[in-house]
Amino acid sequence: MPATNNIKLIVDNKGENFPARSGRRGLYRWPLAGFSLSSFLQVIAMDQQTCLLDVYNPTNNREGHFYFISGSLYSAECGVLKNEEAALEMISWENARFNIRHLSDTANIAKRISKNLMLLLMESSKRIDEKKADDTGKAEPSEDSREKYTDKIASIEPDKEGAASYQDRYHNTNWTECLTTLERDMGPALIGTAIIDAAAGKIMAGCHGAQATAGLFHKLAGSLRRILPGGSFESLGRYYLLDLKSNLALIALLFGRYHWGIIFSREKMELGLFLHVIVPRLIKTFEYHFSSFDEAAQ
Amino acid sequence: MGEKLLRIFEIVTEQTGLKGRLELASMTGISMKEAMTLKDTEDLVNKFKYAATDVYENHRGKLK
Repeated sequence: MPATNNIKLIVDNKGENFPARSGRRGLYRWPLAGFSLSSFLQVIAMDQQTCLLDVYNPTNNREGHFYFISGSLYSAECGVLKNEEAALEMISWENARFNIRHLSDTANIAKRISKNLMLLLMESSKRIDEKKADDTGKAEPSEDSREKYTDKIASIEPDKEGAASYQDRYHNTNWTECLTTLERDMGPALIGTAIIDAAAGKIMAGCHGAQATAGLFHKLAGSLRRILPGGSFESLGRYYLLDLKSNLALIALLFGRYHWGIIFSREKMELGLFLHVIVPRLIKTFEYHFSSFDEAAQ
Repeated sequence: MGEKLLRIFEIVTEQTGLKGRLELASMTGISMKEAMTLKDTEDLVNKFKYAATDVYENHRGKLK
């Protein structure tokens, strides 16, 4: 049954008088429970409902209201809190109970919440996360939980049936080999890395802020192509290096159409060691993993 | 269909909350609902894995 039909059934209780908050009468007053308020708000917004959503928090015996007109959140009330603050407060409630009523007279309801619902949900989620972090006294997740997270993500393998071509699979394995070598050699000095296909504008592999790093290297590659003779990177040799603020450095290793961008901390990695030991090893690793395939493909 | 992608969404939500889930959807351009209808191809799973790593790093960065 579509969500709209469910809501139509529920709003038929308009005009009922439900004074009690708990007990049997309370169940009639707050007939909806068992799902998250954020999901419910999204359903109302998606279905472009015009309604008054009453919310009750049995934990602290507080209640509040959301006013929706054509799926847009117009205003909210929760005790002394009004509008955005009231909405954020109510969204954070767990195990809340709800009721939906008709809003027959919408003319007197002014639009007092300018943020869209998604932004409010994100803001509320951020506040809850921050509160949880404060409550547990943890400033950040431990290295242990990070490792577990990385392991969980890494253990997910794609379907064989839906797997990409041999060429893609070959490359994916080898990209990982290259990144593993880099991570092992750089340790905590590594800030971000990405291997991009500068010709196709694609990100091939990356870790530690890969999206941001790849975006930066795509921009750099585009700018350099415009100023280099014939748009060719050949004149730059094997790599180019930039000194960045905050004691960071950026290097792009050039392998034809592929550019391997690395951003690292100069405080944690000596430049001499990096250029004379690590860079040659990275170039060797990349060439070892990709030359045989490229030769075979030709 | 989309079981692996869904699993990545679940792990991200578990660790970073609804905000992380929304970030993952915004970075990949694929919502959780849409992910259920897609095949777990190598390209897609890898894209989600990279994005999930970024979401987690961003989350850690904001907590620092």
